[in-house]
Amino acid sequence: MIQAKALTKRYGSRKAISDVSFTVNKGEIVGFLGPNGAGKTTTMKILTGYMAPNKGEVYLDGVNVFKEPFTAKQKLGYLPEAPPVYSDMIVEDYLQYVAKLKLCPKKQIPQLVESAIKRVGLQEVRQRLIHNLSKGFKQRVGLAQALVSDPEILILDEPTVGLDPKQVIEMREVLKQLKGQHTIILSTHILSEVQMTCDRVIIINEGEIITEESLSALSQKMRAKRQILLRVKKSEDSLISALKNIKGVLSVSKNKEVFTLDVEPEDQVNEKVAQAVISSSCGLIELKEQDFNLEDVFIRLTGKQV
Amino acid sequence: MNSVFNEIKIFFRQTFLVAMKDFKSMVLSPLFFGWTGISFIFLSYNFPRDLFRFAMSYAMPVFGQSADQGRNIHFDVFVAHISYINLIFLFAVPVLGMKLLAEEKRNRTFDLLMTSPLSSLQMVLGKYFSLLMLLFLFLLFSLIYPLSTGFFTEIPLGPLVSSYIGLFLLAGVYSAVCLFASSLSQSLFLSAFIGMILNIGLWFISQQGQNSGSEVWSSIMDYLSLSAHLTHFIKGSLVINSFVFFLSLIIFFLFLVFKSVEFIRWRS
Ligand SMILES: Nc1ncnc2c1ncn2[C@@H]1O[C@H](COP(=O)(O)OP(=O)(O)O)[C@@H](O)[C@H]1O
Ligand SMILES: [Mg+2]
Repeated sequence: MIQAKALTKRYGSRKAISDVSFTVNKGEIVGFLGPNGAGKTTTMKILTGYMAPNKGEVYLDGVNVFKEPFTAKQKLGYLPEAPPVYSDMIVEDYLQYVAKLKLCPKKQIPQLVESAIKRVGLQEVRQRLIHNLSKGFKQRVGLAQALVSDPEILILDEPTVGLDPKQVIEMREVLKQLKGQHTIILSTHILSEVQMTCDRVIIINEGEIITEESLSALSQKMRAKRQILLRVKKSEDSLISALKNIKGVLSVSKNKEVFTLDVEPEDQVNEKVAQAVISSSCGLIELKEQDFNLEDVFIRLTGKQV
Repeated sequence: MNSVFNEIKIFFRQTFLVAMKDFKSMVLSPLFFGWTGISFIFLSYNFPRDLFRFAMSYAMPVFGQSADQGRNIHFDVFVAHISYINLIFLFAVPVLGMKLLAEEKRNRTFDLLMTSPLSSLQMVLGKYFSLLMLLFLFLLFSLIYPLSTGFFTEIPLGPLVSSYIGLFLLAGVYSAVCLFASSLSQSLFLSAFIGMILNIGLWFISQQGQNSGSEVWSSIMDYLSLSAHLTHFIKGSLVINSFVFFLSLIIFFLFLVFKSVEFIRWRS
């Protein structure tokens, strides 16, 4: 549905992306993962026909974006890094305007606006001035804008960036609801976001694609290395040996009241570790699985330091 | 044949959509209210004063001159009115038009326009017409002053209409210039500032020629001078030359705006 072929883009003499190619199939939801400055926004702006690459081509549903922009852009909904909203407009009027701009048939527009409002959860603010909305709601209006023409393809650039934790959770819920109804590519620099919402991940760094993986394959690789963080009230050395004796724990290191355990990828290990701590009378305060950050992913996937 | 017709229909629909959206947003903005308010206070002060002076000189002719010799409400009152409006436009159009593209860029709504089925030409024309409609509305209201004198005197309607056509074309030039200024950056201030500089520059360009002494030079400058061409319209002579001059200036600046938008699309 989305085909990027050997995209290269320079800003002046500076290469932002080079030779970026990938495909997103119909109905898939793909995460475009990479640290800040990796070239995610640049790639997405090219996919949407906002700007042309120096080299390469983009096909949306088989239509070349730069040869037939009119046709291609009608298949497309795009949420830029900042929601493209007019603050002096009322939510409903704004969505209507966007629907017209996308050349939706006049008769369908009220229905399309209605459905976008419902899907993104804007019922309570539909008559409000966009200027007066919270950041989370503005972002949702931005998403509704991308959805309103009911496009086959959605391109979302960091849809959760800049939101507070509650808004992030709500936004992810909305994104999950979209699954299956559109072909979606969403960019992010947060690994867990991809794990929560996507089927597949494309990883980009310094303007080049590092890997494309299904999410299960990625998790498998990531799971080969698991770490548990453990915090206790008062630490005793006896706990270390107790922990080391648990089957599945590979190594234990200690830093004051915090223990770091490398463990095998079985879920029962957490339970056993918890039991060991409780019976040791050290006082369990916290036990959590260490989140892998993007850097760990890169190291695992490429064997290189970022 | 049918598809060509359809494309033309879509072209006008998209252009009109953008134009109406920006027109509405400008008309409803406090800036527009403030501007029209102040402008009409200004005009309401000056117009009656000029009219009164004209009436006085009519009633008490200067010694040795017969009552209506060389006296004409058009030249003594309306022309002043028109030059006030020109003065207002010179400074107000850059401020009214500063948002048109600069703010779209700043708010990223530009991304929405660029990724919608909307060509650069449709975007530019839509923006342009929104400003032009606004100025047209203003001109329409400002016609109340000269027309109101019709209650007690005969209005030379021909020269008045032709002056207003000239004024409207001039507004068209200012709009194109200021849209260009707005396309250059994301800063509203810079956009308004550059717009004013360009407007004033265009307006006073002829002054240079008149002082220079060289006849060729001064006739070139005369051709390039907005005020000289406006004068043709004010005199009531609809000169094709002046029409062409204003229209080509408009097209020239709209072409620059178009290039500026296309530049982003292709180079960024
Ligand atoms: N308009 C621009 N002009 C010059 N350099 C840019 C521009 N936009 C982005 N870049 C550079 O291109 C690289 C990729 O940027 P971007 O695509 O925004 O990355 P991401 O969205 O992944 O954070 C960065 O190094 C950035 O500094
Ligand atoms: Mg980015």
